[in-house]
Amino acid sequence: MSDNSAYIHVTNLKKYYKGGIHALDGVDCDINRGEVVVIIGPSGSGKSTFLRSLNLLEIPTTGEIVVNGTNIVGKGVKIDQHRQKMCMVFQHFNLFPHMTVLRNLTLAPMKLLKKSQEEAEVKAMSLLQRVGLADRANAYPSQLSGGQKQRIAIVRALAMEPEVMLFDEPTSALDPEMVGEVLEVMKELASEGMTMVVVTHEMGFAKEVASRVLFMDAGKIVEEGPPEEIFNHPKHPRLQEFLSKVL
Amino acid sequence: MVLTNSFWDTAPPWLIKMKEDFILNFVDAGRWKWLVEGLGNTLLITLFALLIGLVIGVVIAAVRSTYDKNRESMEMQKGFGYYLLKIVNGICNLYLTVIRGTPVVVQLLIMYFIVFASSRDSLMVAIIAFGINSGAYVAEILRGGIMSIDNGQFEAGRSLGFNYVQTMIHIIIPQVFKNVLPTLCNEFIVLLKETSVAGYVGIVDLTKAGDLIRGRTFSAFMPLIAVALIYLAMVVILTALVSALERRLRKSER
Amino acid sequence: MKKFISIILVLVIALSVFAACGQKTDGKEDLVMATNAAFPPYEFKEGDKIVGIDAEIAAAIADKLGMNLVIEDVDFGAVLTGVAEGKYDMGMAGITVTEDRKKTMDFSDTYATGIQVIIVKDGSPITSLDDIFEFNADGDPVALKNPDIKVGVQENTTGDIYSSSAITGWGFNDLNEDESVKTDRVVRYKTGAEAVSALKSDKVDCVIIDNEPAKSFVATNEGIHILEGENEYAVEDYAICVKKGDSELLTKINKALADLKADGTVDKIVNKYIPKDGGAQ
Repeated sequence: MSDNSAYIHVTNLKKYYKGGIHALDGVDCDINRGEVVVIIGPSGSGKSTFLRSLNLLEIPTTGEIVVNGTNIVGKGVKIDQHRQKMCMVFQHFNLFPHMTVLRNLTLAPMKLLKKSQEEAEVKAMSLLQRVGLADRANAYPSQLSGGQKQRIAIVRALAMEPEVMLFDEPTSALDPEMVGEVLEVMKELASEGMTMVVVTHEMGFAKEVASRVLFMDAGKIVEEGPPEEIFNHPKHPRLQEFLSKVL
Repeated sequence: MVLTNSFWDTAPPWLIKMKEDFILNFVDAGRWKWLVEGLGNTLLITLFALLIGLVIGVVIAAVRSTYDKNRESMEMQKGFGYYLLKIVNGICNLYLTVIRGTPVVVQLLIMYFIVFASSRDSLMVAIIAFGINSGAYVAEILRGGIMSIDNGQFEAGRSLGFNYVQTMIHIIIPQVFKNVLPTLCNEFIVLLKETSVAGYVGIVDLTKAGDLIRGRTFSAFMPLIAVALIYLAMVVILTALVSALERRLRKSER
Repeated sequence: MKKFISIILVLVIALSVFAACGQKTDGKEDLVMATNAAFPPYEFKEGDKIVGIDAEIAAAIADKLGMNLVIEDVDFGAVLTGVAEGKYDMGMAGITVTEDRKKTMDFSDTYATGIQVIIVKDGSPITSLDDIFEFNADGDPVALKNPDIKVGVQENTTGDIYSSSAITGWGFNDLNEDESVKTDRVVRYKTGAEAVSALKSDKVDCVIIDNEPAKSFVATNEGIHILEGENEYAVEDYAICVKKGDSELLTKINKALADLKADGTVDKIVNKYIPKDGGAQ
């Protein structure tokens, strides 16, 4: 394993739906370890589909996704083990409503990583402490605010000790005053060197945290580069138009 | 408490008639024992049919929802498993269509006179017939429950690295169970009442017990009302249990 | 194919019930007769019509009374209950006159005699009533000879009551105190035809039923026969029953019945359905 080659290597990824809609129309992209890649673009541009393809919540029609040297699109791949290394945070949190916060965090480590309950709970409590929610360990998800739920969802993924974190519009379903607390957790994560792929509409976050920004439109990556290039010197007219609307 | 003779001396004629009717229908010749035997058979058929129905229902619901949920990813690979699942799913659909499209009494008669033509144990045949019938309804209740769970729950489970079966067992089923328990109990109540056609294949169930008393005393009121009251009491008790259960489940959600 | 035929049969039966409900009246007062049209030759379905000895005698009586006969086809038990409760004017369904029944309804003069017979499959080890029941000194059945034997009957008929008393001890006559015998040894079907079809598929070992329908069943089903000479145990008279206390109707019916007997109509009807030499007696 060399740090020089890309950790995730995506080649000519296509996703067609019945009825001829091309959600992804040939995406090529490399993601390196420790990178924070932020994907922006208008709605319907395929950015969520792309993100969800990375851990095969969407099955690509054609193309390759090579993770750590293994093509995960194809027969005979142990996709479940792959997903343990690549956890996802969703727009709508998707916490398990019938379990306490603590149980949400310990379920997967205990069942999949075969941790003891004690071990899993110690880890969970330290993660909860980190996001300032240790006192809510025994609460149920329905008793939490949106911001709290999303912070729990992030640490639920972290409890699996993943190598990559995927964020699918993590702040879009939040009330404005709660966006900050979630972004704060994500920034901290980025500063610790976690490899992250983030689909978001938070341009401030992209500018501040991203090591690279991808702009997607109509199922393709139209432009990519460091944030200052993308935001200050956009080249492609679609990106210019998009930025003029959102900034 | 024993009513004294003087009470009956002054009782109104209709009450005396009621008393005589009651004695004729239930006390004379130990006719109440028909009702006891009938009630026993009704409960026996219902309970065992429910167990069979649950087993069938779980299996069918698992097949059908697995097919629905994984169709897209399996179509991509077109493996042996996909075709197997497709065929089994087709068989399940046929079963559901046939069972839900025909009256239970006809199914019972077909089971008794055609499918199990050589069986002498009508009780067993009835249990199997009602079990197979109930299985179809339980399957659809469970499948509805599974499909009603937000797809995000599946995705959350899968994205943490759980496989399909683990996601079902640890995340989906516990939620489904809570959602469908009241509906399942209602199915149980419906089943209890539906077994009243068991008399068609010579079983003395509660309804038939009433019929037999009626055929021997030629009075309609007492046996029919007694049978109705016994069914009603069972349903009322079951319904009360279900709502108590529902309240408890809702409490733990908070 | 069997399933298909059963489906067609169900449809035909359903249609005939609708047809029966739609019968027109012509201004005359209705005489509502309840019967169970699965008891040939006394009453059975021919196409959408209920025919048989009872149906024809009833029609003749209705004619004499200047009334319009309406036949309701219900369970045998419902015939008895319905008449006792006044739901129907009279019941004619090969009904046997018994002391118990006399307590709750009134009976006309008898118009026919019925006996119970045993139908078995060809080659059955059962050759007489003694192979089925144990008897007490009075000749009443008190137990099953062989606890594996199952007796098929039509529910609430004499055959049912006779057999049940032997099995349960708490049926109609309180004869048997041994409750260890399982009560499902007597299997009670809605119709005699079902009992016979159960016999044919070995669900029961014998069917105890009235002689005349038994002869029809044996004639139309292969592989079964009536045990000859085993029918002296329950000789009974068939009569028309009416609601208890309805003496006005009863008198009219008896008068009509007497006329019909006198002019040979009853004999003619009975002979039409039961050829003289075919009878067991």
